[in-house]
Amino acid sequence: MSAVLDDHGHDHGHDDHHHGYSGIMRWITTTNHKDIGTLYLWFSFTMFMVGGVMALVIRAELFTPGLQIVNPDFFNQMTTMHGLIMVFGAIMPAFVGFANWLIPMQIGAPDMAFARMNNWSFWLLPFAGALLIISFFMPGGAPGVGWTMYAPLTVQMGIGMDFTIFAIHILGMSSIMGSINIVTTVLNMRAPGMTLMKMPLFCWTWLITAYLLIASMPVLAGAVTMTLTDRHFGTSFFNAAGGGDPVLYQHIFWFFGHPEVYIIILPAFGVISQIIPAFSRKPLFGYASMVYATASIAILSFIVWAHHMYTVGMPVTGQLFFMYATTLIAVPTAAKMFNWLATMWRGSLTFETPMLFALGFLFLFAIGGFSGLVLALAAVDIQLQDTYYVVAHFHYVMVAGALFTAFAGIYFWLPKWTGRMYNETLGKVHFWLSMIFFNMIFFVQHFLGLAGMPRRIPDYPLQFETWNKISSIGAFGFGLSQLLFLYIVVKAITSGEKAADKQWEGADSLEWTHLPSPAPYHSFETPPVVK
Amino acid sequence: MKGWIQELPRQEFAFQGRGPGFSLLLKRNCSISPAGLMWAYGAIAAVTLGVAAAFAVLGAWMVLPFAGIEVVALGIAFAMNGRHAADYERIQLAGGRLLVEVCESDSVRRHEFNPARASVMVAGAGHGMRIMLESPGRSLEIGRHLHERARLELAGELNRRLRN
Ligand code: HEM
Ligand SMILES: [Cu+2]
Repeated sequence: MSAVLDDHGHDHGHDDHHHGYSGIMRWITTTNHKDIGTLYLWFSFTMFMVGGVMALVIRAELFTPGLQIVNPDFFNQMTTMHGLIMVFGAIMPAFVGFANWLIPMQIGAPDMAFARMNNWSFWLLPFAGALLIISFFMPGGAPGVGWTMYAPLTVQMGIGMDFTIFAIHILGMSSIMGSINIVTTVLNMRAPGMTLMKMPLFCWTWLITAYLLIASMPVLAGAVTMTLTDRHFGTSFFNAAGGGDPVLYQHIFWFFGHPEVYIIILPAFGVISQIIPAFSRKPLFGYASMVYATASIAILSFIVWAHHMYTVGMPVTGQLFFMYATTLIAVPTAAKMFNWLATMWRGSLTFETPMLFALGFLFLFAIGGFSGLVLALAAVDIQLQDTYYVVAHFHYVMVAGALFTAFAGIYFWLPKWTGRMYNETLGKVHFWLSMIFFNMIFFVQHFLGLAGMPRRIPDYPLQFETWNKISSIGAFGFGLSQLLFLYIVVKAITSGEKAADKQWEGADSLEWTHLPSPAPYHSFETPPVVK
Repeated sequence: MKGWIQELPRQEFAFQGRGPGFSLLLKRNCSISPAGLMWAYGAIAAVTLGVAAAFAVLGAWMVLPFAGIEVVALGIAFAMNGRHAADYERIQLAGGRLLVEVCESDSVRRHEFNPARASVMVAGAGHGMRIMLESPGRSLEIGRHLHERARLELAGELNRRLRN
């Protein structure tokens, strides 16, 4: 019975999508924000798998001291590409996927402002991804310079470096087009009555993130272009041999790089700010302060970059400035933490999978924030810089912060997107496996770093063996657990139970209150009126 | 955030006025004022170009062209979006005259019809369907800011009011 009904529903949906094309051409030509959101999310997951396999190569090599599996050069290529692919290929596109799916529905708009440009912003990504992967097959292989691409090493790399530079250019173009689209959509296409201060927080965090992207992307593009001209066109921006300044590169990179970490985490804050109220059955505590905190974080993120450079040599006043500025960021961040906790206070809480991941985020992101504060202290950082402590820190903020949030968001909105529910038990299993294995990989890396193990090395002294073994086992466990995630999602899409229009009792943004599940292909062609 | 959202009105156009006459304003939904958009643009352009200029002073001038291209691209996007932000159509029946005022980018055009001989026709169907205000020898597309379904409703409602 239900199969018959479902078939009918599917046929109908299909007709709805046609617009002349079907099959693969539909996806290539689509300008629909929901289609494009889906494409972004699947691309992100694919890159997550590719980057994940690279991480497993790294952890396999580090399982025991000595060189077993790969040579040091290839090891460096793995760390570099793992970093670049995860940051630019997995995490950023995941949140752009959320933006595409959700922003129009949450502000009551029919689509993104520039639907055709939206199609281009997505379809640039597979080309960039391909360039990154092709670089492995070039003479000399992929660049082994680290995701930060510091000069002068970048000037000496093989042709794979050029591929990577072009990939970064393309990724940057995609991000800029995406940001222009998001800013225009949020500013101009809100439904009548949907004032800025009534928008769901997710839209706010993306508006601010898009501003950050616009302000910081040209800096990255400039940095890699100057690397390119140093390599091939005889300039000496960073090439010390020609009178250039390698430290200038670091300033430029981190002037982009620190805003970039907030580009990654702010949309995640937005997702968390939708999920926690929904499962607390209470409105978000301190909405306005959340908006101001987000904006302050964004502004401060431009004046802290040199906390990545305490050891390259700078005046003490410089160290002090960057130290105080960095610790200052903890204030708005703590305000957010406080607001999330206060939202839950006396709420009627339930702990479905999205909420579990959101709580996992709160707990682990707090740890990442604290280790960040530790690193912000110049005197301490001089010891810890370039050790595994830094690796632990940024994985707490990027994996437990951003990736866990992406999981939370996917479980949360999957019923709205597909009209079907995932298996709650399996979702919880996925959460607990991820939680346990994540800490197994990265908590112990704090100890390794404090004991002095440098990052980006394929071999290490015997004293570090135990924690490395634990970390590597955790890594394989984490990787396998993500196959369970894939299974859960595919199972939900193909044969999940029918989801309710308002699957989560406490959810109150427009996509839940005004649209059925699955959300129709065209929604809010007539804007709703928000009072 | 509960309680903000009212039920959707079924119609997205509302006739003003009582008695035989009416006035109807149809416009695009646009949630930011041109001045607001200018502020949003000025702020981001200033920051982006300021940062790029600072790097140029330090010798890293190649940030500047990228910043320039980007600021121009954002400007074009805002302009494309803003050019038609204030577009509207006003349809008025008063004193035995049917007046249609069409504002597009920065031109305003006024059309007058004889209500006794005017009627609304539907051209095409589904996606791309249009409605035309017609009187012998003339026709003018109206309801361009409305979604297809609403255009149909408008055509029906206007015809009904023109008959009365
Ligand atoms: C309370 C907030 C935070 C503070 C105080 C903080 C502080 C720091 C400091 C001082 C470093 C430099 C460590 C070193 O190289 O010796 C660092 C590295 C790093 N942080 Fe954070 N951080 C914070 C939040 C974040 C967030 C939210 C992210 C990303 C989502 C992030 C991602 C990173 C990354 C990727 C690195 C390493 C870069 C590299 O050297 O490859 N951090 N953080
Ligand atoms: Cu930083």
